[in-house]
Amino acid sequence: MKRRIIHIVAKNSDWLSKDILKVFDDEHILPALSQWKSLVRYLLLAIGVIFFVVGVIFFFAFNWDDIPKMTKLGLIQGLIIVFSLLAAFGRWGKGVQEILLTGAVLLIGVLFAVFGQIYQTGANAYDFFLGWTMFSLLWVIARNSLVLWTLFLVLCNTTLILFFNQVQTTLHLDQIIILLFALNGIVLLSRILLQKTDFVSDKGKWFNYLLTLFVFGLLVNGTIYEIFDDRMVLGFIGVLIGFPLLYFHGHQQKDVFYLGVLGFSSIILIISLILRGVKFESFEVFLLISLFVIGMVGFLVQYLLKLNRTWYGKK
Amino acid sequence: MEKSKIIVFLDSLLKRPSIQNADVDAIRDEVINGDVLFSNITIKILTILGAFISAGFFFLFLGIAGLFNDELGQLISGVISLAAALFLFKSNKGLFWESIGVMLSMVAHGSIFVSFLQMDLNLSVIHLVFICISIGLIIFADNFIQKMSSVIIIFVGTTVWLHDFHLWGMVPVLSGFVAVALTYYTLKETEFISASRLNNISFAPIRLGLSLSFVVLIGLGAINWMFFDVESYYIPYVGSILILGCLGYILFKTFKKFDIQNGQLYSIVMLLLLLPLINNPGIIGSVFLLILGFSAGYKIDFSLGLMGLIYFISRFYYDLDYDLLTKSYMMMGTGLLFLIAYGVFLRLESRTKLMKS
Repeated sequence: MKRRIIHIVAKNSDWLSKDILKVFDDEHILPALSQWKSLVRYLLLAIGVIFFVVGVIFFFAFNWDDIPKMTKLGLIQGLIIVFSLLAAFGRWGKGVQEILLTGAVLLIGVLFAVFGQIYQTGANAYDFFLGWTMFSLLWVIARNSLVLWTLFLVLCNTTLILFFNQVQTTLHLDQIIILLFALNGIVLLSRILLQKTDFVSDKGKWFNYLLTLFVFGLLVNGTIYEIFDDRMVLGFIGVLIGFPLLYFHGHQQKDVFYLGVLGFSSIILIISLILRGVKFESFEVFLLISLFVIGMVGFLVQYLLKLNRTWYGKK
Repeated sequence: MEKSKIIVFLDSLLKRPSIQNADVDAIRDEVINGDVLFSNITIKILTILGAFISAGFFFLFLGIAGLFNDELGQLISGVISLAAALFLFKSNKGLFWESIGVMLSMVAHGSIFVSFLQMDLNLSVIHLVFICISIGLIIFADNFIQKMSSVIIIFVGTTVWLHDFHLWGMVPVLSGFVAVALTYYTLKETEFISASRLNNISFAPIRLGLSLSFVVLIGLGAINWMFFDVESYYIPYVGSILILGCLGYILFKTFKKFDIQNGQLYSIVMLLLLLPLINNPGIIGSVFLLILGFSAGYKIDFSLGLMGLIYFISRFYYDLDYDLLTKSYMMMGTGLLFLIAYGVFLRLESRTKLMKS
């Protein structure tokens, strides 16, 4: 933002280049020496650790067949214990602790995979992911880190999808998608309500954004399937519940992101309805849709700009 | 950033004696009332997506209606769309009309391209025409997305020439030249924005266009030339040398800025450490973009550089024709070297702090 303002001032004045450069330094737009030192430190440490760890993994991968069963399992269990203890009692910063704990959660999956490989248990992918998800829950709740919650949600969704693919196979694809929307929607709603009651920190907007995109991506996807399958009940209910909540939340948070997602999702659904209604029989519908999209997006952009000005353009 | 904070920052800027002949009313109007400061990334992405989808459906309509059959009609409608887009960009009526302009521009490019293909024109000739159109749009179109796209069309479209002339191996060389242009343009930011109005409003989109073009070119250069049925010579090291040169220049300038002793020596040592990777412009290009982005305060370049580094290093080890054991020793050895360098760096830092105190 500061950079943009400096550009505007330079455009409308006689401002010498060397003076502008001084402002860049004064306003910390360019990094100071301390920031360069931090970059070098983090890069050297991160590259060193990653290369070394991957090298160790490759070493064990090469010798995997020759390693005894107990050593294989003991190795991975040992790593899980070491990572967890270091995360709990180590004197590093929060970032390093999170990396260690994320590594421990990933290693749980590796442990199950190795167990299944050694003993040929005949478990399917659903059983594997179910076990991984259940055994990760404790770490996720204990640490309460957004990175771990993201990983946990990925595992939950993968488990559910595999459940409907391999165990309970009676549901249609669109019903599965709408169900996933509902479950993930409940997670998003719970987080928002907990944030309002200050039970959960307000930080981590990126998590809310990511979850919103995922939830409404599922809703739009599932509803489109239902539109073309002439079975619009669940999707329609999802839209009736989800869209007003998103609108209300966007206005409460004064964040155009949520309203942008809402607007764009609406445009996509209306296009699907038009295409379904016309059944691709006339080509003029594409011209109509083209004009509709540009008109609606233009209107949406103007509306969001106006909202931004109203919310943040106060004196 | 709230309006009150923007006003405070602007007022502090305008008080500086170094700013001469400032049109204060125009500045305040653009900063406080302009779309730019209230338009965030959500709105920009919506504009691009909307224009893209609208152009796609419009094209579908043209195709099904048989309007692609007449190449002259296509060309005329493309030119008219382009003129309309330019008019909308110049009229400055706001983001809504600019998004229609972007859509018309996409349709224009598509129509002109299809009409030239139907006229059986050579791809190289088509690209030459598009270079001329893009240069015109950079100069005359007052729109961020249009200028940025035009830069990308110029550089990435040049790969079409390289493919046509069986010179696909020259893609890394092209990326080297783009690196030189990007370095010059980024480091001379203050000179460009103070030079003229056109340079000022073109700076940000052209810089971003160069950045994205560089990323695409190092990605294309990394594609094994065997995938393309052309006879080509693979000289990635020429591109890498150009990129290393740019990196060396940035490092040297940085050490000089902070008055670090033996800065030239450190720059040379760092370049020599990267020299073994000279046949891999992907890794060298990613390091360059990461350092350039950080030195100039551009988070997008820094993030692209970081992602590129992760991808190209992974790809490098995957493609190596050694067994897992050799690869594991190489990686453990490299990791240990970096950890030793980390230890040395920490020691040097604490020694410098002790000397200062």
